[in-house]
Amino acid sequence: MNKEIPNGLVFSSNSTKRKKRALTLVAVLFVLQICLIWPIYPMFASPTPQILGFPLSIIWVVFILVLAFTSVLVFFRKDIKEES
Amino acid sequence: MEDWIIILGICGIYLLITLAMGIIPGLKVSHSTTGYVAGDRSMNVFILYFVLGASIFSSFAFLGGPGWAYSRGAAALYIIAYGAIGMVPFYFFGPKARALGAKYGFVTQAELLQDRFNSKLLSALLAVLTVVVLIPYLTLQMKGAGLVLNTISDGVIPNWMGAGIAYFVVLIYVFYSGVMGVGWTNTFQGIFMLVIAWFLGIYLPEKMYGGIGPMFDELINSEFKQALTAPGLTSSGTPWDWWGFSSAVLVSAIGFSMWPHFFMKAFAAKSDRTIKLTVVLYPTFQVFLIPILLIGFSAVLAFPGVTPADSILPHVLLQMDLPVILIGLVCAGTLAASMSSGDAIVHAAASVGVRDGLTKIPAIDTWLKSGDHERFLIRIAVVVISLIAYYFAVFSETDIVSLLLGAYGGIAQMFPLVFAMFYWPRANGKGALTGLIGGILVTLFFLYNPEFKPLPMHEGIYGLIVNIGLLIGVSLATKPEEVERVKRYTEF
Repeated sequence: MNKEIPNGLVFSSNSTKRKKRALTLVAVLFVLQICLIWPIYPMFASPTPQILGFPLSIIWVVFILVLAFTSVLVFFRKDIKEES
Repeated sequence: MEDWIIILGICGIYLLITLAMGIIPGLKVSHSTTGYVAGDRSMNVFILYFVLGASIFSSFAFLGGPGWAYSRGAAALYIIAYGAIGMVPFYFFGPKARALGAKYGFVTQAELLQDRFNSKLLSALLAVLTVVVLIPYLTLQMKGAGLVLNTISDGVIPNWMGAGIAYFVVLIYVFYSGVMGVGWTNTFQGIFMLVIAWFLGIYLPEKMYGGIGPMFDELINSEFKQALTAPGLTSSGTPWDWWGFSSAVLVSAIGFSMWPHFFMKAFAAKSDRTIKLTVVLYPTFQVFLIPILLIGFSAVLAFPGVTPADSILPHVLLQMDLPVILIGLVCAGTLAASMSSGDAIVHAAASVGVRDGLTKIPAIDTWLKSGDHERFLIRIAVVVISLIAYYFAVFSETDIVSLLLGAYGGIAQMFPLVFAMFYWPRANGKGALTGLIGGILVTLFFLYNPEFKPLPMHEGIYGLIVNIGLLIGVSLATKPEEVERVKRYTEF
């Protein structure tokens, strides 16, 4: 019985394409999360220059939030298209 | 008529609308446990979006958010930094949990974990963890409601009465309608909060400085520039270090989707698409924190030295010459923030406490099975948990905030288990149990003994390292769960 259960991780998916897409999304989001902590965020930590009136340190976080939103949205649209 | 009477009148109208919106949906759901805890699995995107958004944005966001921006500057961005990604695991876990819930009748995350890892002890442990973590969270919501009504009534309404009135309303609709009462009221409260937050976040900088840009110009040219440099300041006013900021963001992002009152909504969702679309749209709720922070920033130069920082919003409202109707609406909005989290929390704590905790006691389980008693018992638990939190909010001197800080580290410890449940077939009950216990103990140890930390990171990170190590090590060293059981959760 032991041999039937694999030792590694199993990301089940009916479609290999979706599996690849999901792993790409995770990778993209991982990078975006790193952008909001050390070592990337310190490069954008200064309040100047101001962009649209906001300090750089704030606008950077909003910018990453928008990128995260967009990447999940793109993934979702493909997901839905594939389902239908 | 005195101003505070008009303000309280507006809050009263708000409470009545909330009560009506909380009671009506209860007429439609079935009188079963699934109806009470999971709304007969019928929540659509519109309601789920507001339930998840409004449950997370609590008194902490409405009072604590401006307080953090005011006293700690860019440190407040941490709340947005973890929420950007924190919801995404739910995109993958949520549909799996929903499908298993619909098939096997699960309505809490501990039921899933108990079944996958074949461990009643794990379920009981999660029930204790959930209730212990959610009570301080609920207590803070109640304190927020009491504080608001007390401040605006000029002290005429004492804290105990303010918290009592708001939470009596919550108690009635949660008791009567269960999760659908939470759903509909959160939708109303969510829309209300969004409008109030955006209005204030734009209006206050405009009135005080002539706009958001000019406000930041002045802040950057003042001593506050240091605070606006990420990662901002600590609560004692010294610059926060990147270790602390980064690890706090990571732990919160990992724990975000694990909060029981949050994860459980997967079982209430109508379809997979509902869950996925809610996750996709979630950052639009996250953006709502920006105006909340602007409220705090606007007060930095105009009202220096206000303590505690959390009282900055009511302070600004009272000091500025604002129309009385507006103050009333903002107070009602703050109550909405408190109640929209409080209702989901008390509902989740009661459901989990009964389904995953009390049913593990054989005598109670036999009694529950002898008739339709479960929903009744959960309702009793709603009352008991509300009273315990009320006691802590009004009478006890216990330091609730430190309990809550520990809670985030504790909640994050569920993540490795939930991940392994769906993606690592080899994980077993022994590994899950030792991982969870080890993770929680290490988190608690470093929470209370920070001087032993090798690096100044959030204690939850150390907990997670030990948790994952034990989960992997013990699982590989012991026998796996039976194939049929594992196959229900992972496809290999």
